[in-house]
Amino acid sequence: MCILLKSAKSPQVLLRVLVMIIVIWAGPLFATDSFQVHGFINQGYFLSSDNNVYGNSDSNDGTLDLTEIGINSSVRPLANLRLAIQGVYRHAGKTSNGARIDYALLDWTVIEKEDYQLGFRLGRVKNPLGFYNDTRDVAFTRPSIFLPQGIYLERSRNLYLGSDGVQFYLNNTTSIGDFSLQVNAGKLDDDVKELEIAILRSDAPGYLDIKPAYMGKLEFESNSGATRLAFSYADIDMDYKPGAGDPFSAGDISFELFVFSAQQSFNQITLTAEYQRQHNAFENLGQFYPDYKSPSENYYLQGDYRFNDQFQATLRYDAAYLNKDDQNGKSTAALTGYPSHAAYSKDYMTGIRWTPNNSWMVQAEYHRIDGTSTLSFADNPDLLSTKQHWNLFALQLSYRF
Amino acid sequence: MRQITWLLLLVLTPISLASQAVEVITHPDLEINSLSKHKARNVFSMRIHVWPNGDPIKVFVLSDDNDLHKQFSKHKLGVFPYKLRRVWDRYLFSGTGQVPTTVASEEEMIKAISSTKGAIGYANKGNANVHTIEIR
Repeated sequence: MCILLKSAKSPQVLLRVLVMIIVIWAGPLFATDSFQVHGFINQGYFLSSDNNVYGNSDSNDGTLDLTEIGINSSVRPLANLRLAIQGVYRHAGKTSNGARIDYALLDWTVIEKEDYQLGFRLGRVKNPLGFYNDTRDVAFTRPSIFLPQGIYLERSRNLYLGSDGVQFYLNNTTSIGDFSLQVNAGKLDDDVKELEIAILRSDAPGYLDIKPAYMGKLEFESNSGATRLAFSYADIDMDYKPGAGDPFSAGDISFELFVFSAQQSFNQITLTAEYQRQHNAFENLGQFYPDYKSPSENYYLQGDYRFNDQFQATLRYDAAYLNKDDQNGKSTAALTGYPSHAAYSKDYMTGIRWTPNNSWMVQAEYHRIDGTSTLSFADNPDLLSTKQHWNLFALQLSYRF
Repeated sequence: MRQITWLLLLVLTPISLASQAVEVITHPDLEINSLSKHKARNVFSMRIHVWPNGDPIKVFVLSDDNDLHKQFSKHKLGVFPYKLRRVWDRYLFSGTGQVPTTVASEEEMIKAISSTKGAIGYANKGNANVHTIEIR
């Protein structure tokens, strides 16, 4: 299956282009009443006491270097067939800058019964991990300006964005709620410079060759939407391919991750928690990189209070440990040469959200952070000069249609 | 005691009257006279896409902050409007589904439903061009 997917790379591209053409040009001809176009625009502002997020936030003026723009379109030419595409432009400090096809797929519901549906989505599909990964670039779906950085780490963002391949899905509606299963198999995004630097601790001449991967999510949502529970799993293997004069040799790297997610809403209060455990293995990278395995641990607990339809306040504690057996980072520091605070991050956040109507949203939030494990390398090229304790203020304006 | 009863009546009456004033309406050709609350929730949250007769389901709603929409979601579906919106957003932005068509007014809603095969929506009161169904 994996080999098949790999060799099918160019047909995938072809399929995406085809879907794009059909949706944009021929969509209205199929059935005007099922043709939809929606989108969003998001602009952030960030100011930090130390360390940089999304550009130079540690300057007197802060930074406006987070802009996300998306447009999507879908059409349902037949009752059991849907075509959908979304393009996203994202400028996020020095970590990402450009436009991409976020998803482009053909959704075929093979069996549609009153209480269950089973089908496939072919093309570029989003990867379902935790509550937020598959919509992580869309401010309206995020629980705050920043996603909890432990689980939704910016450094490994590209790796988990989407798969070029297939998503199998099964939904089952019962008297207590809706169960849904999604399983993806396909080729992952290989634009993973941040991840490579995080692993090798330098921009080495080689590159990471990511193998086709499997991942999936099982989710339960109660009828009223008050209770949501999910379990996600991913298994990702990659080879390091050394370049000329490379200090590292051809090595094997693997991540296996488990995410448990839970959300419960009461009248005005919503509590959300997610816990992630990730098993990392780094092997055969050569004499400068002794083999090692580490279990990462990330979790957060968030409480939202809705004052009314327009205003909401949020409190969150978000913790990230690159190695859960080394919570103070001392042995990781001895291994990497980075400060020990680069091995963890503990983030206390409080925020407010104002949604005056369907189309607009304004958010503000304040973080007190101990640790620097969630910083991007592109925006913080010298990790040795980062500060352990830092504060971050963020403001965001979002529009949708 | 009597004053309290009057007060309660005064407070509760508009709510109960208002909750009765929302009718779920469909295209006249749809041969369905009632839907369970559970089924209605699945239809309006865009989880199911086809009517038993094979017609595609076409959902129409008013905007989230419209009073009729709020009454409809709370009383007919038992869901907060913001919860519905979050479900739609998840489908829309992850590419896993479509969202309802938002219309600007009740008149537009009735017009759209009377002229679209497989359409479902709601109104204060139906008329002869649409079919009114019961939510059990």
